[in-house]
Amino acid sequence: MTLQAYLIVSAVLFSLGAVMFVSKRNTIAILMGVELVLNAAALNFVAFAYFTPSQASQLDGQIFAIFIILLAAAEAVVALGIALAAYKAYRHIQADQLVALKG
Amino acid sequence: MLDHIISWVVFLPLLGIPLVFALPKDKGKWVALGVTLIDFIIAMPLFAGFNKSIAGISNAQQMQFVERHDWIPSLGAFYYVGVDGLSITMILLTLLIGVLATLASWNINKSQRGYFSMFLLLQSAMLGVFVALDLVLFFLFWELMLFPMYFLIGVWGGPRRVYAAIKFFLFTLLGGVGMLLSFIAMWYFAPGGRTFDIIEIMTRVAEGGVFTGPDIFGMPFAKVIFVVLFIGFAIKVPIFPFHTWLPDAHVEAPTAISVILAGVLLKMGTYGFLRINFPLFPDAFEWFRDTLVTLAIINIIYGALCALAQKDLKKMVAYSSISHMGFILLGLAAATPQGLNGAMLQMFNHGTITAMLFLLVGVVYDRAHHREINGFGGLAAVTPVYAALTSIAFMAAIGLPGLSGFISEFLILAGSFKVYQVPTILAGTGIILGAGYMLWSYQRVFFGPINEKYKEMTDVKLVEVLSLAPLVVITVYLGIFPNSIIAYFEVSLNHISRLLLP
Amino acid sequence: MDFIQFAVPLIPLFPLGGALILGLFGKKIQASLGESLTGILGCAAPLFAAALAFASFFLFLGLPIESRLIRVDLAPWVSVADFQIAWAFRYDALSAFMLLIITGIGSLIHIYSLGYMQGDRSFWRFFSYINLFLGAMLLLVLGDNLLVMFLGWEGVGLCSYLLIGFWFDHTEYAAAGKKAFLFNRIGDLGFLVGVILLVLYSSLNWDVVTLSFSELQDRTSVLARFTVWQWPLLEVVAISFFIGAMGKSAQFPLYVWLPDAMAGPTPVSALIHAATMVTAGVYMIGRMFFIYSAAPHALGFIALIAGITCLLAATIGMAQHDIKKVLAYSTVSQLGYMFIAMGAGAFSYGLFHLLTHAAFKAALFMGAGSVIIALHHEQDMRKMGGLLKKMPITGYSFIAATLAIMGFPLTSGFFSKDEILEAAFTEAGVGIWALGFIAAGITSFYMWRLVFMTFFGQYRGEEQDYERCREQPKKTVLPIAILAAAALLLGFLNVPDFMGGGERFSKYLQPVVVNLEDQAPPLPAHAAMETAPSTSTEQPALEDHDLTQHPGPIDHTTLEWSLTVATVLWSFFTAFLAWYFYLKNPQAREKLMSKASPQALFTLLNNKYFVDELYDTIIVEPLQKLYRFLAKFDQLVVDGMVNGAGHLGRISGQVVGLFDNKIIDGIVNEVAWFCQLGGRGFSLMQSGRIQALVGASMLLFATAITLLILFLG
Repeated sequence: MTLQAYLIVSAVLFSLGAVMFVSKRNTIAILMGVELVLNAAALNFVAFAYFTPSQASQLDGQIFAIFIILLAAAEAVVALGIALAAYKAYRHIQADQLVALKG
Repeated sequence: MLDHIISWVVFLPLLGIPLVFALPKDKGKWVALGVTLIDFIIAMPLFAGFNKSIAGISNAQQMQFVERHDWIPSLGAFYYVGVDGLSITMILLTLLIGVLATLASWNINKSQRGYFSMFLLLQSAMLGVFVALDLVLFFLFWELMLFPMYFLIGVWGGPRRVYAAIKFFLFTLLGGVGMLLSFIAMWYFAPGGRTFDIIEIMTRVAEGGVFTGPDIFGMPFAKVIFVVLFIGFAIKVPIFPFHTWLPDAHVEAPTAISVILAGVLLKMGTYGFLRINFPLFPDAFEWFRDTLVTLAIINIIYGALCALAQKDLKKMVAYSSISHMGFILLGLAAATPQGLNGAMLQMFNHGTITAMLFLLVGVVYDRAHHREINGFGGLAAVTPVYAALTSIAFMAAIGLPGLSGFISEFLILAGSFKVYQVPTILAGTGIILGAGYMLWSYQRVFFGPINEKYKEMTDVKLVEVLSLAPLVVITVYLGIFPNSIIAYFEVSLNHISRLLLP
Repeated sequence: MDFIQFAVPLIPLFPLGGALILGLFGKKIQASLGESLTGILGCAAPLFAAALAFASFFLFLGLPIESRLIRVDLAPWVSVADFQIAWAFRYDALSAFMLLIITGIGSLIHIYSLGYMQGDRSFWRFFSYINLFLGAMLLLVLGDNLLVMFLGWEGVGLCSYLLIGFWFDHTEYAAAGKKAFLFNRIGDLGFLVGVILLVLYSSLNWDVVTLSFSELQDRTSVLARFTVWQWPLLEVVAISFFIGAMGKSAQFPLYVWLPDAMAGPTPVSALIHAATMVTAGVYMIGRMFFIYSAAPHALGFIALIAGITCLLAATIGMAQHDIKKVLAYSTVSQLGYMFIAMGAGAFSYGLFHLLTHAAFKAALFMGAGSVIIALHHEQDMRKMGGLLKKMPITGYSFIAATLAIMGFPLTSGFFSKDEILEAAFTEAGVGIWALGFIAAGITSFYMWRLVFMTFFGQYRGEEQDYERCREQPKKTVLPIAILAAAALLLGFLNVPDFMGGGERFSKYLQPVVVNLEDQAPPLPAHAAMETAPSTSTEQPALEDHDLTQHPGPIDHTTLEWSLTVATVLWSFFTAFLAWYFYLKNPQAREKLMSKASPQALFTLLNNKYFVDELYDTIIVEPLQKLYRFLAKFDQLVVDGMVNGAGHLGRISGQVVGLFDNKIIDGIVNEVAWFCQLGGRGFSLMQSGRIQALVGASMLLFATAITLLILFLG
């Protein structure tokens, strides 16, 4: 397996995530898109790490992946919390209608 | 742990702050008490393991329990802490006063969490000042202490608390700015290469190095820096004419904070003189000595006379504090071994005795809600235990032999007489005046016919006795065995004396 | 020897311990166990101390002269650099003798107080204080170095303060206590300067300064070579210490506190303000006789001050109505005698008078106290009279003590005063002798005036008071009787040579205190160094012998006898005057007093020469003005400058603020307006739709990366 294969998978994942992120109305779905984007990045890190010749910096990429997983978890918590709060306030979670920040 | 004992001692109060917020509101005092007590206990190895026979001061090898880490490498500032005879005495005093002041804060009701978190922050900062061996670190702790003090006076103080707090803050900040500029100048022009390391600079100075920099306003560099530093520390002492923040701050501050203010904070000024100001600039010190003696005498007599005129008990004690700090200055100016050791002992004794005085004033204020000396009378019959404790504290402040104040005053006078005969005798008249204002106010408050208003006044409570008793014991014990504390700092102070009087 | 080593530290510890126990728990003890047990506890300490003191003394007498110096080193006290002060006691002939006086009279007065203080609410507090006093006084006497002595010196001052103001609910009593403390403090400054001078000059020459008396004695001859402020060092030191003595022992001009000190309970007046504390100055000079021997000018000064004090106080004593005030001024006057002796270099005579005075004056005070209690705290002699019949033991004891103080032949006062006057005549000069001589007669006058007004004639107060007046219980009168007997007999301890007595007391003291006339002529410094106190015992006898055979204009013995006879006759004459004016023929007195000049004199004396008022005008009031001014100065000027700086800061802040508002802000506002314009345009972008934002930013990001790749890659 070559590095490229991983990169392609990751790019596909990223694109799917990004599209989902922009197009979906439901906040939960948007969140899922974000997860995909993050995982694509994580996959990239691991892949680069695996194919790096230097033993020392192999670890770096993997640590970053772990960071991303942690980050994703934390982000999910926060985002779901926001969604919940939004639901309480507006009785829906449709992103295009949550425009209180309109300037 | 023993390797980092100083860091533990210094930062333990800081660790207490989250705990203050984590626990229910009314547990703050217990946290503070626990933290200060534990701090005292973990500092025990420090006192037990301290080697009393080496001086430290200008010798890095002789500093004890040293910790040194890179801190701000780009500045060349280190996290460099350690103790010698000079600092260990002050640490003991700070830890002790910390515990007692917590007890004195037992009746604080207004937002306890805020109060005790500020209190613990203050405690850490004060301890930090006494162990820092790096100019930047020293300055950091020095300014850090300002912030909680400002709030402690400004929020929990008396009616004019805001005025007093701002006055205190501005005065100290003014000194602090000068100090910072001086520190930077000292770093820049340090003999033998730039460094913030106090001990290193002092070693170089002891070996003959001098600060050589450009003249400032036509004055030699070293003298200007010396004077600016001096003013910075003098504000803390406080020395006439920078003293006016003190009576206000004392009168407005809550009892416990007055205790800390008089017990520890004032000593920071004189500690600064001994740690940084004088030994780093021995030539400038020599040049400045006569002025210093004059200031010392002014402090002693002026403070005593002002104390005589006060109608507020706390203000009287505050001015007496100014007078007693003058004795420390006299000892420092003489710079003889007896003078310096006496001054150092006086720093400790004044800390304990004045703490006692403020605690006692706090007791009566707590009951009567005023402190007018003429507003009482005959309390000795109503509150005999309180009267007895007060008489011990007053007698110690007067310098009665057998109590700790006498030894230090005697050493100072004996030490300074070698150098300055007439000022010493003038200082002696300060002792007489001291007896005058103390006895005068004691008589007004405790003797005479019983004031009907306070016929039912309650005597001292357990928590008050708990905070006073250790001080009474120390005062008596150090009057009989002063060597038990002198032993800690004698070698160091003798060393400073040699540095100052080659 | 071992016993003494063991006993000496315990002697002061007993009363100090007693004071501590009574001070901490006395209130509870008195409440639960009652007054009598508290009293027993209070008396136990001095009695134990007295037992130890007497036992040690008899053992001490058995020691050979060379080993009559026992030092007890307990612990180091203060040691800084060369300065090494120890907690050490010194037991020698002088301190042994002082211990006897203090513990002996102290014990008697404790027992007396049991009766005197009966029923007082603060019975325990009294005993706690007086125990503390005894402890401090014993420390003073036993101290081996100046600092321990100073500890006791200040300690007794503190106790005197506490005891004078014992009934503190009377403001004037408390004020009297404060006055005593302050006047003592003024003196103490002198003492302190003396100590510090010795520290300084010792540390200049020797590696170690312990301030112990033996060390000082060894170093005296070297110290004598220094000068300070163009004066010989030892003169300055001697006068400094004497200033301390002036405060403590109530000498002119610092004597004014002692009469006021009579506000305290009478046992206190007897013990502290007559027998022991006030004589501390005399003891101190005796202890440091070697310094004073080397300071002739200081001695002259002492003799002069003492002579003035002696006469001045005696004259005031003639015109007082308060029985205790008379005795107080008498004490001041008698202290003057002791210092005359010290000033004449006749140290042992002064110390002997200290002993006899302690006995007769304590008896007089206790007698007066007994009368006062019997009359329910009446102290005005004008309301007394005829009490001898009602209170025989008190009365006769009082008369015995009066005989002693007037110098009735063969009583103790006769010998001690006579020796002093003789020494004053030969050593200090005729002028000093004359002061003392006149005072001797006046003493006799005011004492007999007191006796006649109190114990003889008609009772002049309320009739029912007289009826109720009783002799006091045994525990009160017995100590008086014992002391009165002592006052009659003690004189035989030191009968002068010319009466064939051999001066046993002076001989006893000679290992430690040598009178000036008995000392070897000043030796060169190095030789004097070797003259240790114990070796100088043989020499004086020879000197003495020489002196008596010295052919003078008048034969020495004749002179001494004639001085003695003159004094006795003069005292008898004034006693007769007192009898005539106050008992036999009071009308004559009234006739005399109605004339202008005697009346003016009486007013002057009755008001104590207005010295208190003088102090008020020249010291107290200016000082008050000064400190009030300074406080104002501090508030208005020093603090005013600070506040002024603050105001200046605020005003300049306001000016800058105006500038800021109008001009800087003006510019800022223009800029802001411009920005606002731009902002409105951009705000259109803020749709609030998060996806639109993200989409836009992604687009931007993608474009940026594409461009980057295109142009850089």
